[in-house]
Amino acid sequence: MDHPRVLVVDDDKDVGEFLRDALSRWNYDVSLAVHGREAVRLISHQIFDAALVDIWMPEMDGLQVLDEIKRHDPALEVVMMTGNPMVETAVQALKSGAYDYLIKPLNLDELQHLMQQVLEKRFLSREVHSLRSRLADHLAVKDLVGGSPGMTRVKEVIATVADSDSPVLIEGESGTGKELVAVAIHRQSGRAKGPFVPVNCSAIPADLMESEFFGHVRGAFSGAVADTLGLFRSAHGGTLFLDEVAELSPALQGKLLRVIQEKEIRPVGSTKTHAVSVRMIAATNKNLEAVVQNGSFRQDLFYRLNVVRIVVPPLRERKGDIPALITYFLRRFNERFRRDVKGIAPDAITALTAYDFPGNVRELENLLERAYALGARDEIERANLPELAARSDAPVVTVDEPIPTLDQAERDLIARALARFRNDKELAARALGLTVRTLYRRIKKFGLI
Amino acid sequence: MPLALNLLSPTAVSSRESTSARWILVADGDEVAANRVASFLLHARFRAYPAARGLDALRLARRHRLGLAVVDVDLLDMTGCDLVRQLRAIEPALPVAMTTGDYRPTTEVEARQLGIVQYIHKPVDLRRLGLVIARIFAADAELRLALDAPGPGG
Repeated sequence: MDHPRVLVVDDDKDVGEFLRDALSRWNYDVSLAVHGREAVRLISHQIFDAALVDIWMPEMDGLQVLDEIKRHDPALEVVMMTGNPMVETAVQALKSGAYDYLIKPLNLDELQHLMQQVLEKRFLSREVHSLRSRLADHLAVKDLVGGSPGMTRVKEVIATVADSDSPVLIEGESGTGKELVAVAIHRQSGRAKGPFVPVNCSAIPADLMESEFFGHVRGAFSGAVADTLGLFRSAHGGTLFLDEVAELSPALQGKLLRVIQEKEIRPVGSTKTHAVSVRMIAATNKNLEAVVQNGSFRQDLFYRLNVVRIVVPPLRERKGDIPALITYFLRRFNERFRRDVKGIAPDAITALTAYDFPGNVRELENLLERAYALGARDEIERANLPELAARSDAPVVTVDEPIPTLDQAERDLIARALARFRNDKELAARALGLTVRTLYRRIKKFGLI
Repeated sequence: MPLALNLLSPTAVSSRESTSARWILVADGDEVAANRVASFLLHARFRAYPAARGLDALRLARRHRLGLAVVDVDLLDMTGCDLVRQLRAIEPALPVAMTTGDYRPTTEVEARQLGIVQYIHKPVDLRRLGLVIARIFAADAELRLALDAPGPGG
């Protein structure tokens, strides 16, 4: 195993050097920062196992550094050091999440003992963490990462609405983590012990929606060999999360509305109804109000679902969270790839921060995963990342890329226009220089619905 | 092509290519059942791979990008639900259809909490599975194109 990494933050260089010598002798990897800003810069692109922070420093004091560290990586254990043992300061440090504090001049035995404790706790919790991720469902390890104003607001709303039973509508672009918000609401609600049943409405064929949602009885159709519960009854006592709710077929929208009003469902082929107690959380990457306006989503259902609305901000509006997200993903990928990437190079982080992330957090995750796949070892370097230019409208065509057939190109262009104008056929047709009728014909031809 | 590149450059891969480039895993402790579904998929020109063991399934998932997993509740070396959790660690958005010959409601509740696209009692109704596959690969193509288009204000 490689050495535990410790960050030492002290404006007194002599103390810093002294600690470096001592800790290196005990086989720790030590990084020094002589002021708070440098410490913040270091934690933003390296993963540490522990930090020793002096309380009294000019500019940014130790408590502020502690706050920054905890905001960035709550799992990093911090030991405060003070030359002026005042109970108030120590109490405040512990309240703010420090593990312990040491009084200067430092006693080496005491330091060694304390460092061992800190790291034991750390490795123990890491063990528990990885055990949990293997045993519990995969969502348990994913948390809402980030302390930006946007995410803080989201977390506040979650805390406020979790305990009520009212439906929640979550809006946000693809890859912003809408499901994580839904899980967080479920976990903090009185239904936490009940099931959380997520369903991606866009992945269910329209013909099968009714039996998926409401179940069916044996013999209801050929292939119905036994009764099924369906999504609603599977989520009884818990939460049903309807992802991409805008994709629900019109027929199902009507039926869903009735379930919300009457709190009972009737399986396909059955004459009996069943009472269900299910909290509904819906999510969409579209502006659902606009979808209502263009007539493909029922207004009455929209009002029923939109009792509380949470808008998850896109990553480009919370770039301050990027370093914390990177740390979070490196930890996960280190575990998964059994690698020990310690951090990320400053120019790589600059490139990432300058990028707009149209695919949001999921795209960041993919970029980092790709860096691992391309062999990142010690730290993620700029060279491990692809070109992150601002995206232009023109498709990128590289020399060795196969030339698509005209049909393929046409299909792709139409699909892109539809995506761009959020399925508004009139706008898409105008942009493509087609009549709406022609566009509809092509959509049908290419099976783009 | 390195596996992550496909995902990262939607413009570089036409949706038709991306569909056929993705594998469909068919995991079932009953080898006959796995082979039946896999050969149906192969006939429909998908790259299907039957596995009776979870470990074989995971090996496939590490080597190839999966587009869909059809997983039975019972495998030879682990439960289907465990396999799905491990597959999702590799491919978080992987669509999963769960099959089972166990008709108990508790089995269904457990499976549905994994966020599956279809719960199918055995013997597997291949027509139904075909509909699911058609839907998923269409959704997949749309997602890629949506990622390609600039977001509002972006």
